[in-house]
Amino acid sequence: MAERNTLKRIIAYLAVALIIPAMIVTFAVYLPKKAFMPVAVGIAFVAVAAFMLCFERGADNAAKAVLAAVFTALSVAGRVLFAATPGFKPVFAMTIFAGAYLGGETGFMVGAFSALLSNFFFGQGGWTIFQMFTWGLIGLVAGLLGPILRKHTAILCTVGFFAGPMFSLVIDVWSTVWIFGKFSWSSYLVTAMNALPFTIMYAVSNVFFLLILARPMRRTMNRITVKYGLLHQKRRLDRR
Amino acid sequence: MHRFRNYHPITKLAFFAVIFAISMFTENPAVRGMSLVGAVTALAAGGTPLKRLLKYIGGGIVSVLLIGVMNCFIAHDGKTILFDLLRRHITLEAFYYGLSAGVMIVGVAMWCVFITDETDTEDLVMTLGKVLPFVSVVITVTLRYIPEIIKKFRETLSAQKMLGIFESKGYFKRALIISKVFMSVTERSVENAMDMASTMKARGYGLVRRASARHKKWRESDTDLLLVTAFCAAFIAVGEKTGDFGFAYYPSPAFVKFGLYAIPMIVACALLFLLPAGQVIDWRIRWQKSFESKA
Repeated sequence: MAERNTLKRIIAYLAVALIIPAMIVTFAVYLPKKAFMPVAVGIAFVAVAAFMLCFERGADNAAKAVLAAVFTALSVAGRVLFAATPGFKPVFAMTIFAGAYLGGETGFMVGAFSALLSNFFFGQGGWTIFQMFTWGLIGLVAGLLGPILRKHTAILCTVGFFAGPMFSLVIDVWSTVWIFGKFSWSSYLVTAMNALPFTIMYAVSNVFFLLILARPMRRTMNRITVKYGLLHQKRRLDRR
Repeated sequence: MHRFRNYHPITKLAFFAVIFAISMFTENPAVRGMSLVGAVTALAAGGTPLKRLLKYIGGGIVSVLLIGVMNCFIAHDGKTILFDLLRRHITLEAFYYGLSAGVMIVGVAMWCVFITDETDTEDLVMTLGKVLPFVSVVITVTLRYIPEIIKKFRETLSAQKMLGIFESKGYFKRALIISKVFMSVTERSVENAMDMASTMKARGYGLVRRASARHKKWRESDTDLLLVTAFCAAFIAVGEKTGDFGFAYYPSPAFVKFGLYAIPMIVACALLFLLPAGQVIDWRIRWQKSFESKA
């Protein structure tokens, strides 16, 4: 029963991770700006709201709440502390760790809240919901690949390396329509080329932070698991 | 002291949603210009320091020009050909369209600065508290941790600096040291988090339904602002539908139609965009008068 539920959840996650970005790109290509903007914002908003509602199911779990809060706070604090180096921030790394160690839903929430709360320092705007959705998606994918990412640092860094460009390319869809009024591949290329230094920086910084933090994070999370029985408790609940 | 800050979060959300919708979905340069002027006046009235405001305006002018030039290389419509580049026309109309898009983007960005100044995280927690109590707990705990983590990071880093760890090291090694300090803060925070979770559980977390505190109550002024916003939004929406204030950039920039409905639409836009600045100025005058009457 538990295995069937896990499979259902994986299928649902994959659907969100693949279908929604594909929908946003398709709408950007075929819809005019006036229709694209509300539709795209609506899709991203509904996806984020749906995950928030899923997250609410664990309302009685204090450890889940506090760990999600700490990973989000580390991510926001990291973005603020590394503000002097544009693009070089540990937000992706923290989101990926949260997904890998705490599960896809928590990873999504850590990514989404990191965008929402850090933008109180860096400025809110129409891009916030897209950042929330895209960072959330990265946390979700990290949750899906959790067992592998927890064991192999090389795969963890590879995921981090591709997460940067993925984030940049999704945000560029929004930026293209916003700046040029309509989506065309040539304008998308111009936007993506403008953002290229950031895209490279994201990829490099993700690998850097994941490489440095992977071992200590594994040690800390294993220690917590043994000391507080956090994950054992979860496994026992799954078996029921 | 700001009047706008005191509005209920739902009122602010509705008002800014309308402002964004009009600024982003109207192609008319006059409306886009009014949005930009409204945002700048709101920031100026809201007490933004002059130096910061001038920095925004300077950056805004550069951005508008840059987007104007960029659009010339993407759009090739328009009848006034400036020159040909790689067998493509570079037109004046494409430049105008880019300038107009730039005004819209800078206007929206300035409204975003105003929103960031006029809203706080309490608004967020208050809005979510009733609907998603668990999510608002996570946000509240996060907000408690952010300053603590920043403080701890700075303390640890300055202690390391005092030990001379940064002396004659390259950029990469410095980044490595800073990241290691961040890691030590991460380890400490995660451990502390588990202790906090145990404390919460010991105090009965999750046993009963959570209560949510509301510091901002719905006032008459919230109803007034919502009504004005809805009225103006309806006027502008009807105006957009009739096309009485329609504008086209190609083949040459001109009003498609300047009908009877254009004047009320301009008034509605001006009212909506200048409302935040007006509110703040009105509040300041009243504040000043309250002191004078006491004296």
